[in-house]
Amino acid sequence: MGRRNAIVIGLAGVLVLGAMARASCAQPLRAPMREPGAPGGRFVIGVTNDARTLNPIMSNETSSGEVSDLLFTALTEFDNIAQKPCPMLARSWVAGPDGLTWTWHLRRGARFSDGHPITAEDVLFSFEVAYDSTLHQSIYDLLTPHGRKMQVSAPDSYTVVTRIARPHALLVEAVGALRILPRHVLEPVWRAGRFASSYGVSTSPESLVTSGPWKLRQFVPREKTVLTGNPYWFGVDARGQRLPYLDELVFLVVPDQNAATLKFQAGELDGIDNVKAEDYGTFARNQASGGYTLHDLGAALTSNFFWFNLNTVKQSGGRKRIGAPYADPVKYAWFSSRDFRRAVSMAIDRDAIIRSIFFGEGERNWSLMTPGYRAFFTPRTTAPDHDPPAARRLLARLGLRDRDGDGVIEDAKDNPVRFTLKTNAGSTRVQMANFVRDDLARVGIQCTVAAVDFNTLLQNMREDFDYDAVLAGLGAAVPPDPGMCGNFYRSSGISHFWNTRQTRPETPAEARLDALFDELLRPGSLAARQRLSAELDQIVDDQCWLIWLPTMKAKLPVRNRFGNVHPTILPQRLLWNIETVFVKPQGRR
Amino acid sequence: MRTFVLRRLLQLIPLLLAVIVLTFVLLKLAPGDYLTALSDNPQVSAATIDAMRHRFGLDQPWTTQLILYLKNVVLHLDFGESFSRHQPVFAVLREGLLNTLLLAVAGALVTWGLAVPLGAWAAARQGSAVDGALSLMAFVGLSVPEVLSGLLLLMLAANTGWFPVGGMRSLDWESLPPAARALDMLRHLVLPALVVGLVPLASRMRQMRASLLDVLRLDYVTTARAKGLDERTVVMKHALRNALNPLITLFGFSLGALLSGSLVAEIIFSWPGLGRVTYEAILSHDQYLVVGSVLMAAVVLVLGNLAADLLLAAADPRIRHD
Amino acid sequence: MTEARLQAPPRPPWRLFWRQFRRSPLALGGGALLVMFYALALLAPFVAPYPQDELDRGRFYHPPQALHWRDTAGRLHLRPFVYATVSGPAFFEYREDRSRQAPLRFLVRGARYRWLGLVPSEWHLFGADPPGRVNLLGTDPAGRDVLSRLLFGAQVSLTVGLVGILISFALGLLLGGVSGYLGGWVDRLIMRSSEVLLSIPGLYLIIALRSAFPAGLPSWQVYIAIVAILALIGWAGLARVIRGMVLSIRRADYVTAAEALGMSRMRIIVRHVLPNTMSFVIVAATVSVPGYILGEVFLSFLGVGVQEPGASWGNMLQQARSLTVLTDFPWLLYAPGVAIFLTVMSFNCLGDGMRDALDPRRPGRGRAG
Repeated sequence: MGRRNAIVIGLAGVLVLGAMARASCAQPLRAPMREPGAPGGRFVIGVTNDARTLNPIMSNETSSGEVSDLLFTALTEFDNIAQKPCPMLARSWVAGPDGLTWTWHLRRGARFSDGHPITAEDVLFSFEVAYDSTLHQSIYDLLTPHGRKMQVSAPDSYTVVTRIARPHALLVEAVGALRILPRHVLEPVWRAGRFASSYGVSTSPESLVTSGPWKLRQFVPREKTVLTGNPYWFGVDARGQRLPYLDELVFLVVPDQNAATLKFQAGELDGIDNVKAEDYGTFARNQASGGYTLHDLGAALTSNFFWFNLNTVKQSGGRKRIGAPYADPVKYAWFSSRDFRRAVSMAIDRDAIIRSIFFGEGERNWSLMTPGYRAFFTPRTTAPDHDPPAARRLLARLGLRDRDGDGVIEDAKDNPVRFTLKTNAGSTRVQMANFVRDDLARVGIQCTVAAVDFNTLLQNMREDFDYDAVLAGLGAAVPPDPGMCGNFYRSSGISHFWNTRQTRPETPAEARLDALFDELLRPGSLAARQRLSAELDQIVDDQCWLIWLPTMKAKLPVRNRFGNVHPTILPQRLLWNIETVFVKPQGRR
Repeated sequence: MRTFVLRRLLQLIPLLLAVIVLTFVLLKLAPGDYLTALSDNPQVSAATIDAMRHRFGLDQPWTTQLILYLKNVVLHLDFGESFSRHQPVFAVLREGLLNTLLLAVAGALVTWGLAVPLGAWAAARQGSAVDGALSLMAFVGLSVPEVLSGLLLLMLAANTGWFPVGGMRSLDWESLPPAARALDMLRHLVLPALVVGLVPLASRMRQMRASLLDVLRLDYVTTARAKGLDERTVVMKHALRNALNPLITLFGFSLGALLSGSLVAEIIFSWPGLGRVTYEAILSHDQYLVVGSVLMAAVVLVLGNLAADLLLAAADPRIRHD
Repeated sequence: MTEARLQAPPRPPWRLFWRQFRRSPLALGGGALLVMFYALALLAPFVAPYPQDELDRGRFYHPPQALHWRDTAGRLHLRPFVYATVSGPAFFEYREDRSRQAPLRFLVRGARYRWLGLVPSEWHLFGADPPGRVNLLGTDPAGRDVLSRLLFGAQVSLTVGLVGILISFALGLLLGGVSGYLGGWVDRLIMRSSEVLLSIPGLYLIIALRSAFPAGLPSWQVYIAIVAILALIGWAGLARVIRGMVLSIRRADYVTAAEALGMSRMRIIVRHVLPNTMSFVIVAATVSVPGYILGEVFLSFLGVGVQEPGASWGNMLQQARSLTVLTDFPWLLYAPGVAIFLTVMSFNCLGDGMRDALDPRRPGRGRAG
């Protein structure tokens, strides 16, 4: 490191400190606003389901979380454009020298929607509720890094100290997942044991005290949820104007996707969060006449893949002995060969899938970290892509060839190579499975597609392992970091699909995965963690445990008359910065 | 008569218990439970799922769950809670019930409002081209699947702007004066009621026609004609009223199907009804909500049958219930 | 002689029925159409030029092809032919390539199949000379021939109704007949069970029962099984009506006579009581079939009907139920839509014609019977 580098780093440090200082006293904006806006107006977004509860701790569905995330604030919020957490209720935070103790400095002047000040006691209370073992909601998992609760204390009304047992790379994001509840309203309810049903959808708007930018104006079941600005929220724009700008934010429930498209075309909706790839053309064509923009968000965060059942029996008590594979031993012999899996991957024509199912709006994807995960996506230079002759050669080298001329290859014992590919009914995955079937038929493997209902599929995947191969996928990791995907990468994880819940890593590759993942969870520089993530993916690639399929590109329409609209591929795609969205004055649309 | 009604209402109780048991058993036949879908989220640990399962009582054998539920129903009239909403079941269902009833009644009005006059007209012109054309038209309504007619009507609404594109009310409904409110809902009701109502139109029209034809052959009609009354008076004043009798009982029976016939229309037109709640509950294994909804449908069915039987007795003095 | 003439043998009832039935052009038309549809469904593997799940990667969303008899030079061909198509430049845009023709021939060899699962064959009614392909009704998103899928889908959609009514009517007749004739506790038991069954929404049963089947079954078999189960539940409505009819028939003289003669009750029910409900039952059966067909469409709408890659009119319609399809690829909607529409209409017209023909109230009918 020369002197010039030192100066650069020093300057960068000054800038960062300066930015933090600015953040500490002023507005918690999550994106640079192109322009300050004007108050007023209403934004109507179409959603498929309405919220089931407005209680951020008790919600289990995205439709509920969408709304409660806007009603309640947190210590940090995620900036979808910079893809990192930024200050919200906490104006700054600093780690102790051992990386285990973090001190959070809360901003002063923050208030609930009833005027009551937000203090460290509210944060403590929120932690208590999250850690309540009788409630034990999913927030519990997010706040227990390495399985241990954090120790939380409040030395004064505007300082919170958290202490963890082991250093954790994603601590700031984890703490940011906790929404801050009003202690003065909910503590008596919680102590009386009635927390689970509190702040449900039938709560009257006046009694629902919120900490975030919005509060509830009206909830009509299965029809709409209307939010309005929290008059006491601390967010302001560069000119000191209170945020949110909008008078009303309406979630309109439209269960049918065609109906949502029609409503949008008719002007009754201002944005839709979910559009089918086949409708992109229609939306694109009508942009000018409809006064909206179809924003291209790039590759989605959901991945699609299929895998073979390499699960072995882990507990005694069934018909099979421990260590025996769940799959038919004849099939297991093929599935467990890495070259077989690579050959299968080389048989798949991904272009056809992109053209037909995604209407050309798709991309190849070879990792859980799709191109949408900007920081952790690594382009693949070598991947087992479409090459049927090479696939056939590879299969032949394994002794699998067509011995009797019927078009299906057999193994050395004349067993025809065939298996059943399961996927969940009624989704695009069934169409993908069709293509897979046809592709495999061209290399001589006979694949039967079985579309089963979702719960049966989950049960097969996690409990009885009654399948040959399953085609499924994983949704977005929030925040977009491979460290959130422990259940997938760890050999003991329940989402480590091809061989879940291993008691000890069964192969050296599995052991390496575990070691790498543990390393990934330790705080480190971004570059170091990127290398770890790339290595994790390299191993999964090498072993070809998953056969990757393309991912869709996401596009969302939003009306042009709104300013500061920055849809991102990360959730919440349209709503993440909705408090800075405003209605443009007439002349400037 | 009163004892008859009382007896039928008392018979309701074992019926409902049987429905509860059957529903429960069928729900348990399908694999998984409310938490299976949650377990798909890789960020939720197995410990959390187990804890939640325990809290909902889903880790117990289903027989235990059933017995506990029956005990709560019989002793405390407590029909359980919705797992996702943490609210009592009937609180969740109540609004959906009213909305679905509104749609169903509107659909019934469309059906009967068209079936009676068209059926009468077809009967009066029996055998003619008009008769055939009316039958054909009615069959068209029956032969186009609701899923398609709903979409086409929705497109019509979007392209012409005459009707709103789905929903039950406008966004600003609350700020409208009462008269405007009613009008707004009426506008939203037209298309889904059409979709719901056109399906049974054909058979109701045929029944009206057959019934009127029956009556027109009877002696007193011939007498009225012989007296010199014109055809129109004969039909309207004498025959029609009697022809409507058997249809009234049909109407009573169709009350029973009110709650279950509108799921497609509810989904396509974003109508916030009971069908959608039940359907979503079934998919997510929100078991007490499902049982509550089925119970509601059963009660409406039995009450509808009872009403039909009472109407039948009122209309036809030959039938007596005791 | 006069007496001989007065005692002419009575016309068999079915002949009267037929004479009456013939008068209604709608019923005749409907019946003829249905016969044709069922024949096509039976011979589907033969009539269809391609298997139902054969993908063609070069022809996604291909529009229906026109048949030509006159080529670019103006010459008339004996055989109709289709032009090959090239795709592009825009997505799913196809143009005829007039330089390449593919004549259609009858009785060609094509993909192998086993008719009814028994008879292996590779003959097809028609086909284009390879490497040409003919898609008379276009292709679907995966390049599968819509006409072929329509024919194979007919097999599912048309049998569903028959299986359904066979089971539900057999059960409904039997249980309704027994209940009405025997009365007493048997009657009460059957009627109470039917009430319980009628209270539970059928949709719910399907979703629950669908998952109870082993996943290895091909989905159309699962579907038939579901229909069977639905029909098993569906006897309830019919049984109640039959019971009502039986209650009145029971008092008829010939039944009392049979009882006096010592006939077993079962025999009386089967041989005397039930046949008198026949006219109602036949009509009701004919008119119920559309219910099963539309039911399958409904289930596909919810995503729990026949699954891919199997074809059924319901899942073809569901795939096509989108605005983009309606504007850009309408043939995907018309094919199953028109097929469903025509089938349901035909069943209704047929049932209507049968009802009129069997109805003793029709003028001119009562006197001859």
